[in-house]
Amino acid sequence: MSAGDRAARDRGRETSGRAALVRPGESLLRGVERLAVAASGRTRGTQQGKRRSGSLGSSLEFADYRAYVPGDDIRRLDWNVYGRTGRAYVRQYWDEQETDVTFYLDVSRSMRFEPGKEEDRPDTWTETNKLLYAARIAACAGYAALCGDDRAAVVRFAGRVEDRLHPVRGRGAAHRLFDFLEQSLGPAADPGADDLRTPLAAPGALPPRPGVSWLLTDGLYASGIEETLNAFAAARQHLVFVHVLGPDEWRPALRGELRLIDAESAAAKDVAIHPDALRAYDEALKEHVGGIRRRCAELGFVYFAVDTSVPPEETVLVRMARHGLLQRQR
Amino acid sequence: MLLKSAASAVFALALPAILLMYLLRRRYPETEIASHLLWRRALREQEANRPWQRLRRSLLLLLQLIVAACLAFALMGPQIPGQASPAAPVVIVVDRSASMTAAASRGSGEADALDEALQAVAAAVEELPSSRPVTLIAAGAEPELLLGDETDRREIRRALGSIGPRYGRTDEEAALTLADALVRDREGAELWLATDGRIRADIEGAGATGVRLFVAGRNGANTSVAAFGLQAGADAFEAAATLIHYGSRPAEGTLAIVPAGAAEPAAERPFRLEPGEQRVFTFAGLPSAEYYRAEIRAVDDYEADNAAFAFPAAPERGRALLVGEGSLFLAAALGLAGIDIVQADPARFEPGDETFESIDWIVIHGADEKALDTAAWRKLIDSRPVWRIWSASSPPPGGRAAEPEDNRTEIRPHPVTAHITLADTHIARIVQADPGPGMEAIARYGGLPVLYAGSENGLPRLVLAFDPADSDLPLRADFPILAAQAAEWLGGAAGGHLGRAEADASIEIGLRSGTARAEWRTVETAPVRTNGEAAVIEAERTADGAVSSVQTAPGVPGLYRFVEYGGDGRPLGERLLAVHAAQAEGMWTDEPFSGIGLPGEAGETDHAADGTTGAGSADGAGETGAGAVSGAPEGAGFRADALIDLAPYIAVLILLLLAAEWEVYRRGAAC
Repeated sequence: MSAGDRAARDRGRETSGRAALVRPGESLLRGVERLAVAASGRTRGTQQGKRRSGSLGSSLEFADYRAYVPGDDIRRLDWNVYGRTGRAYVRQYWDEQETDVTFYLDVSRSMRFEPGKEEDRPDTWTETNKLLYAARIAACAGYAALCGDDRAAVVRFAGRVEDRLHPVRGRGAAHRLFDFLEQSLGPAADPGADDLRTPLAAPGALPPRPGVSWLLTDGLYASGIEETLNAFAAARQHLVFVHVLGPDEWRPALRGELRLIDAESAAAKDVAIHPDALRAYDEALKEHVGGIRRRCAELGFVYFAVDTSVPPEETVLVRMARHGLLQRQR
Repeated sequence: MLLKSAASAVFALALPAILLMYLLRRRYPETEIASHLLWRRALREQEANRPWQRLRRSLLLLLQLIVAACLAFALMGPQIPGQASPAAPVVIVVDRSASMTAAASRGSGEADALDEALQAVAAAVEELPSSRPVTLIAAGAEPELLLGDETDRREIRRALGSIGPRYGRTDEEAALTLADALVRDREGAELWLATDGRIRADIEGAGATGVRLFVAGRNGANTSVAAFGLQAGADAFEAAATLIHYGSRPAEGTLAIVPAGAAEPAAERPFRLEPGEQRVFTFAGLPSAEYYRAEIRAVDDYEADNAAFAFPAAPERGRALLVGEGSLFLAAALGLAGIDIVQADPARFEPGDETFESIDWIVIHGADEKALDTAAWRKLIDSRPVWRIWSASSPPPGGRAAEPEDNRTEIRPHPVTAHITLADTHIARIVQADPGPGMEAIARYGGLPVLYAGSENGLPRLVLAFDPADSDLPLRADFPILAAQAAEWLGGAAGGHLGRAEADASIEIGLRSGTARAEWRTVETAPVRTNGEAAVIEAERTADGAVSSVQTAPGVPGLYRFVEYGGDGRPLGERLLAVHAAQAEGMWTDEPFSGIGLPGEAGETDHAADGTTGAGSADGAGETGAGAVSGAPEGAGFRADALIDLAPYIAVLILLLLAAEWEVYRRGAAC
């Protein structure tokens, strides 16, 4: 039993047993409570929220002066200006609305894969498991969204959209979020697709309303990534592409002549691993990552690469904050 | 190319072994990873750059198979005939002994083995790089260095063309020793030996890097006239001829006895000789003739010994004028030596013209020389060899008799003193006088000179300083020998024929007194190839210009007349000499090349000699030689260094292949 296994066991014991793997620790929750999910542009919700809406409204945030016209709420008349100038002006304030934050969690087999571990036994996984790590990030970011009076939704997908958590609101819904994420660690019906469009270009997969979407995936799709990003843009989503890769993928530690078995397709490939091959792998990785990053930049999306060997606390509280993905609440 | 150990081909089993290893090779350890995607891209990128990458695994197999095949091949000891460095000298030894005039190998189209050998050598020289210096040695009685480090091909061709046969004794070993000295310590030097193999020579441990043999001639049959003698009877001649047949099959033919000048034989005898058989044929009742020729009329591969000449012994006697008291012993001893004595008393006899004609030389025995002081005597004495025998009773002017102190003798080598010891001889009185200018003491007794020899006006002079009557010499065996040797030396063994001699051999000829010039005249030659020798050969002379008494016999077998001329150009006499080729050349008892010390090589040589090697062409002969060289067993003396061993090159190739294999592996051949 590795240290990671033991940590997972301990964590399960100290918490209530539900969402034992995904639920952030108390200290992390305290840290995340003060953060909110960043959103670009004006948002439009149906309920009062903390998001500055595109329309003027009733928040405390001053926007502009405007000459009074009959019918304006006289409570908004600026009496000081009227007293000095004798002209009536009304103060205008930004409207504040909530926004939808949808987490797209990739639960394909490549996300679950961990050498020597059973993919349907999340309790044996180590800390560097990509799916576990992505679920924890989603839990933190979702909790931050709930704390920031935003609505949080989760969609988990593999070869197709497996299940979704419809938008929940309020800090009290956090346990539902965590429970859903915990369930997502369970066995997937589908091993995954080679094309990201297969699950995400399906009708109804993307949110109907504009909002913020977080796509947590390892990006190991041979095709369809660019088109999927375009589809998010078309759905008026501000996308955060969280690229979750393990240390073995960032820096493969393989040596010798190996027969590599693809976890999803079970295809085998004989590779003699030597410096040249590793260099070529590095090139291929850079090109792959660069392609996604470039497309994200073109669409105004955020690309965020994650190494699962980095502790989640640091990723969430330090790196994401520094990148502006999570901001201090107003 | 040669394979030194073809049996090593069994190592080629390594090839299927490698295949088996590939079939049973360890599978790659399976490693599950999240996705192939990036690896696929990484490797596809590499493969896109090199289309042959897909072949890599089979390339690795192919490389290993090549390496294994190379190893097996190297173990088989491959060699190729190598090229020496462009400046390595070539020393060619051409055997030109009489046996080389035998028939060439069948199909070569050459007249004889010598031509065949020379053609082969010339063709091989043409193939040499022009920078390689060629030294040409022709074997003879003494090796003849025809060319030294010559690079001009025209010059080499000319020198090769000038080589003709030598019928005398040839010393191939001397030629090879000389060649060995020339090639020793010279980088890459090659020794070429062109021969029919009928030589006795040792090329073991030759200093040459490579030895190349140019095989010529065939292992044929030879019927030889080993001996031919003639006996003059009262009214008819008798002849006896001995024939020997060398060969593997019986020989049939006719033995013809042809008298001098006749076109038709006086007698003929058919013969059939078994291999190795020797038979004597006698002929009686032959008409008298100056000489007879015995010749074999049969199919024969070697013709130099197919004819022999014989002439009856000429019972010609010399005549000496004995002046003085004379001695019964002396007369008897000279008579034994074949000298007719004419006694003359100087007091009563004055030599006339007929005396000049009939006298070969003069013995003056104790005569008072004052009585000879007449014009006629002086003229006679000055024109004839003289043997003076001093007498103590009448010593020459100024002479005195002395008694020797002891009987120690001291003999100096001289034709007259050969076989003379004077041992046990007692000499009572010895005359001491001045023997005259140019006289040398050739024998001493008791410290006193007893025998002087010298010459005066080109004529021999001999002085015996004691009277035989004052000694017991006439009773000793030395006396008739001394008399005979003195007579021969003084009279030049006048008369008689010169007998038989081997071609080019040195023969001693007693010259007639007064011979100023002499020459050899060809009477007839055997049916052999000649080098265009002149019909008349001037006799050799000594350093002081006189005709030498040691002459070299003419080089071509046949019959020759030795004619001597006096100072006035008048022929003094003529004698016949039958010249035959060196006997050993015709004794074909051994297989060719059995004398070169290559026991394992006889078969190869037979092969060549039978003419089955590419019609005896230059290449054929050369290649056969090379093959024979390499086929020689260890210790046979041939070095196979001229063959380049390929094993080191194969080793380098294998190393390169290993490097290539490593590179292929390093680039991920297993993908």
